[in-house]
Amino acid sequence: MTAAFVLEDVVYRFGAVKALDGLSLVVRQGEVYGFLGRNGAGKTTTLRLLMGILRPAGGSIELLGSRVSRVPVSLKRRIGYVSQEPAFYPWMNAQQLGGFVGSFYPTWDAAEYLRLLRMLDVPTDRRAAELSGGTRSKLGLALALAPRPDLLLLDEPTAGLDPVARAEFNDQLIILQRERGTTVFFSSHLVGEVEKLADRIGIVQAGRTRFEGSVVHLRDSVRRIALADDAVPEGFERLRGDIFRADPARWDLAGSGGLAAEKLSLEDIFLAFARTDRLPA
Amino acid sequence: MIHPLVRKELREHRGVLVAMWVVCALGLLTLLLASTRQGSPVVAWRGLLTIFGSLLSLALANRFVVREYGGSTQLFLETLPMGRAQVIAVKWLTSAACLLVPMALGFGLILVVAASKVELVPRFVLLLAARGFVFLMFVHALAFFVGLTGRYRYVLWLALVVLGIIANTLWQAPPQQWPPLQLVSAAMPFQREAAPVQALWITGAMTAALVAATFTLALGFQGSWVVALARRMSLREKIVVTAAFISVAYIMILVEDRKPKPAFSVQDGVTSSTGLPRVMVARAEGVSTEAALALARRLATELQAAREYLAIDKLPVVAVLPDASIDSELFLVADLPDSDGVVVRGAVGAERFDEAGFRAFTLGKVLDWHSRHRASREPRRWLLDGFPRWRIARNDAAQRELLTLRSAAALQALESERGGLAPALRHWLTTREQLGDCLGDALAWRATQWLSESLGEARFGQLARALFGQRPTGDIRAFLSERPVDELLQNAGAPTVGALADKLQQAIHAEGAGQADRIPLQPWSVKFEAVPMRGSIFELRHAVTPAGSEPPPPYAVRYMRVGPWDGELTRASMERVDAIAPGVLPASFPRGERVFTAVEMYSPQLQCTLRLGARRWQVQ
Repeated sequence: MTAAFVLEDVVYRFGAVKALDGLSLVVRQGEVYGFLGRNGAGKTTTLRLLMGILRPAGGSIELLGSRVSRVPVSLKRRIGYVSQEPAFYPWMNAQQLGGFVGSFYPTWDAAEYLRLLRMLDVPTDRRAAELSGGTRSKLGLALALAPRPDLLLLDEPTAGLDPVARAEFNDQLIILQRERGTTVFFSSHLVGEVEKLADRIGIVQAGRTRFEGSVVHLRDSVRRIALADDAVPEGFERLRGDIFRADPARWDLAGSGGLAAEKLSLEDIFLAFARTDRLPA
Repeated sequence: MIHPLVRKELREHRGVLVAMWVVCALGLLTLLLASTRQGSPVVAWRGLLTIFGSLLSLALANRFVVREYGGSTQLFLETLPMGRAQVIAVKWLTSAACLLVPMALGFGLILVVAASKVELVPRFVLLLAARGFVFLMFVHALAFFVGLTGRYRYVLWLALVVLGIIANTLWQAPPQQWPPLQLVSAAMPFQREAAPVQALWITGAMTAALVAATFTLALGFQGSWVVALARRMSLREKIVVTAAFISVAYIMILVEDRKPKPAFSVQDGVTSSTGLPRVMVARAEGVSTEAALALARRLATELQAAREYLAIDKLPVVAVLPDASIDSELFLVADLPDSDGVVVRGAVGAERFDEAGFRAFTLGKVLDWHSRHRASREPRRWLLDGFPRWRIARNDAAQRELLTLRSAAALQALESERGGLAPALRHWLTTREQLGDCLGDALAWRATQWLSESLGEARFGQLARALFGQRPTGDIRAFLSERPVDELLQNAGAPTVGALADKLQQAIHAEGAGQADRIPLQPWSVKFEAVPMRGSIFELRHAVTPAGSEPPPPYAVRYMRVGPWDGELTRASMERVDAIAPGVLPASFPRGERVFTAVEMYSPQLQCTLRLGARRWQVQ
């Protein structure tokens, strides 16, 4: 499967602070990729690099088949983006926003936009300032999908939504993705959401990728074990306390060797990554 | 990609733009109406540029920049397939167009109006257009740049104001001399040939620098500077900024070592002898060297005596410019923007030259200089008018007798027109405007004389030193330390102004009873009338009608146009028409014009010119 984008050792600094410290990711075309991390881990920075809003200080980005140091307008037109808090012009309604945004995209499909608005239950005649948070997120999704992008980037689109609105948004996202087969890369710190939506996930911590793979692979890689002493067995990595990470095959070997390992929920696994005692060099 | 953004900007701001343009249009019409009295309709162009061009630039910067970044909607723009530089460029150019279009239309209208009134040659029109364009671009670039500084924009504007004050006070470089403001100077509407080339180039370069700074700020660190600046100030920042401004203001207050202006110097004249305050009398026809030197010595001696009496540390250089061409009763003081001192002008050597009055006038101006002009503010002005007269007349019985007579006449005039003395002292500038210099000075002298008699030598001296002896600081501290006149009077044991006026009124009445026959009656009634000429233009007619059969003596009509905020009107600023019979003033006045009119005639009994029927009124 070809990659929608590849990030390799990407570095980004805010002054002296390294927001991304050698981040590497591979997102394949047509997949839904969940990007998990705590607040400040580097999720939004990664998405902004992909949108060309920021430029990396180091590393390389291959986006939609082109290696780029800055994202050109021609590539930007192939990307749909929904930000964490969509900053729409408050005086515009959905129809006016569609007219405005659409004029920047040669591939803009006005009929599709209206269909999306209907499907997502977004009123066309109400000003953006009057819309609820959930409806604004749906409006952002419609605006991002109407140009029929090859890649859809969602930056914590459900942050701040109530559980019902979040569920509605996610359901419709799944329907639309299945309809089109668009590559979706979304960031979140909600484990349940990622588990439900993502084919593959990446966990970022302190600007570095700590895990990349399927949810099943993640579940099989991290377990809790009680060790007699502090010595960490070869091939294991201590995430936090008695939680260790290892190749699933190693866990099988360890089990057959008499080591009692307890499987963890995805939530606990994420917490273990997020609260790792120390990062590997 | 440009058109959608331009359309968005126009659509977003159209309401405010139309409102601002209407305000500009109304402002332009007002300026054009006002320009009929200012010599040329082109004067309106200057007003349009400086007032409405600047206001519109600020409003545009607020709408196009502050609103966009303050509302974080630029983040939405950044997600669209469009470069950040493109966004800034489109915003800059669109707002510039929104500024230039109404200004260009306004300029066109001004030219149409001006075409029938002044000669418009291509060079002059081009010059006006170039000056206006460069000025507008500068103001726009400045407002746009400052707008990008987000929460610090008010700080920057305040910093610019502070810079203007510092430049004016410390470096003698007032803002009107700065190249951008030179382009729209008061002379601009009349400079038909000379192009301010240097100012144009410098302003153009400043504009280019501001544009470069704008793009650097907007694009620097992938736009993160400007995003960071757009955030609201934290409480800590507000405290720091407020503290910084208070500190700067305080430092400015404390910095007293301002660049001193050079002392005024007379190239060809005589100077009082050393050991006395420096008084120079310029050589002039009709004034011998000996007479000039004698006058310089008498003035210097008088100033020295006043200096010792008031315990004043430093007196300014005084220069006397004899001028036979002015009225013998008229004394003038020069405004010295670039040098320090007191320069007075009088008809020295003329037949009816009142040297005592001239010396009192000069002493008054010296005291006013020493008080940094605070002594001439209305509440204490009667004391500034009276004290020098009191000093000069204190050893001159004839002068005192004459002043007593004049003060009785002044009270008579006041009682016939305004009532008591208390309101006359409280509103002294109006009183003086009605009485004229002669009676006004005499009444002020009488009040001072009464104070000196009732307080006694020591307490009056204490009062005088409190009033005139201390030189206030040249900054805001002077406001804070200034004490009300009533408080100073009470500290010296004197009654307040109201009580003092009542007692003085009784005293003058008592004196007047014995010399009623010597106080000249004014049996004339003065009438000014506005008569329509054509449309809304009026002529003013004057008439002095005798109450009995005696015809009025020759008189002078004094008149001038006044604005709503004009304070003291000096005789030198008034027009004068001599008359012996009713007549028409040699000027026309539009409906609604405010004017001051009065009649002046010489009184042989009082040996000075009296003013009658003085008033400010509206032509209609």
